[in-house]
Amino acid sequence: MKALSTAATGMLAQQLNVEVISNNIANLNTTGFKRRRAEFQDLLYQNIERVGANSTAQGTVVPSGIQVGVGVRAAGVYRISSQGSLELTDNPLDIAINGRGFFRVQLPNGDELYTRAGSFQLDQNGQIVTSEGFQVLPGINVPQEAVDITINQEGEVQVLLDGQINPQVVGQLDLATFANEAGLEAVGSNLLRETQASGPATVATPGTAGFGLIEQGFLERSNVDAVQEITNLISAQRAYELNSRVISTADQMMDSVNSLR
Amino acid sequence: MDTVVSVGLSHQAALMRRMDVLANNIANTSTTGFKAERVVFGDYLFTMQGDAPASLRRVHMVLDHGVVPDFRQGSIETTNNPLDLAIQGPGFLAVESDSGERLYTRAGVLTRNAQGELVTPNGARVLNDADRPIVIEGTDVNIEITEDGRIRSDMGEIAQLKLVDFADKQQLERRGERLFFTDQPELPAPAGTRFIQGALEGSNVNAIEEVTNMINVLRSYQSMERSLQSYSDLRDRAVERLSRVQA
Repeated sequence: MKALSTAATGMLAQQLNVEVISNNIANLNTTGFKRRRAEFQDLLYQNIERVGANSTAQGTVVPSGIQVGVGVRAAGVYRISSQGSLELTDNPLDIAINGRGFFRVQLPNGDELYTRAGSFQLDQNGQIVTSEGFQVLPGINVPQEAVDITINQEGEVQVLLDGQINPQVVGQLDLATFANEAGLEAVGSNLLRETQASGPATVATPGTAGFGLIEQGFLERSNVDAVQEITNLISAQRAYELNSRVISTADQMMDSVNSLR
Repeated sequence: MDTVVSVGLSHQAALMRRMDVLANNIANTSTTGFKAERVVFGDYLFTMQGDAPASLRRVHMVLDHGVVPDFRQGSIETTNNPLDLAIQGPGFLAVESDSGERLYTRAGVLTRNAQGELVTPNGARVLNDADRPIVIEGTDVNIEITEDGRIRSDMGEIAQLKLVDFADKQQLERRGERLFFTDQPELPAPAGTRFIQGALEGSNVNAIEEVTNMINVLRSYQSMERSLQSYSDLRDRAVERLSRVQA
């Protein structure tokens, strides 16, 4: 009887579903976090009577055949890249992307990664860096004597130097987009890596067609919707229970088999 | 073996099969594009030997004819991923597996492979209306898929998705991974069918239906067991009484 093992695959799948949902809920307040979704697919089918098989020597064809599936497995965990809401922080180096695109970040080993979490800071050399201290590309240096930093919607970074009237342009932030954002690989710490599935990065200034705009003094909140996650959690739990019910029903049927006389 | 016992066994074997199919439906309650399945039972008639009129000698056995998918529309769930596609209405996307075999699916969870081709999660290439794989370049940003299946980006038109339908959908062979196979000729999908970008079609398994069916299976199984039990008691008693007859 396959029902037992089939239901077991169902329980395993729902367990993964709950794990993904709990990670989403845990990141309810993570800046720039994008919620994930577990994707499932059916397992192979056992052909007990093939579709289109002949049932007589005269060539009568079986109309539907008997195919019994053996359960479910995870096909992948996808990132859903909808826009998170923007939250006002008034910190000049908190910048949010309104629309498509990612900030480019360089790791100390030279690798280029991508992030939507724009909670930037200055390091000891005046470089704009992420909260982990990684350089934000293309590398912008803010002079020590700057009293104010302004970043406009197109990503131009201007500073007002002490004693001067006119602000001075010190750099230009750019954004990267991908043909398939869902294909980016998450490496933790809000960072994403380019993969074959995502396609190569296309870099342009904010506000170019297909690219978002920059909002200074805002942070993009996580796009996790608590209500949606809780309802998903409830349905995952119910689906889990449903599968365990299949196991107990199959068990009762097996029990009857044992008591046959 | 007694006819009563073999009729009972045929019923129980059929119920076991039905339980296996129910378990698979329930395991796939969260599978995108999954279609629930039903077992079709029929009776297998045979005529016993004997002197009684033929109409009284007929025995109906239970036989499972086939497992048929139920192609009702699943619920549409939005994901906002540009490469997620739900099909609303009848129809299938045509895909090509690694071995070059033509398969069909309703699960529009799409991604790009290393060559930039549009593929399903298991690597089957999605085909355009000219039966060629669809290539999405890295420069194609802001991908838009229209209701009638045209894929566009900021760089212009990319492809037209191939949407097909079949005369007899019950004959589609399931290959797992949400793929179907058939050698029937492809027909154009009905006019009302449309694509919804940024959404997926959920499984059409209905939990209430499956649980009631499951209770039904268990109870029928138990009642058959009870019948077999009483038949066994009957036989015991018959043997006992007959052996008491005095010579």
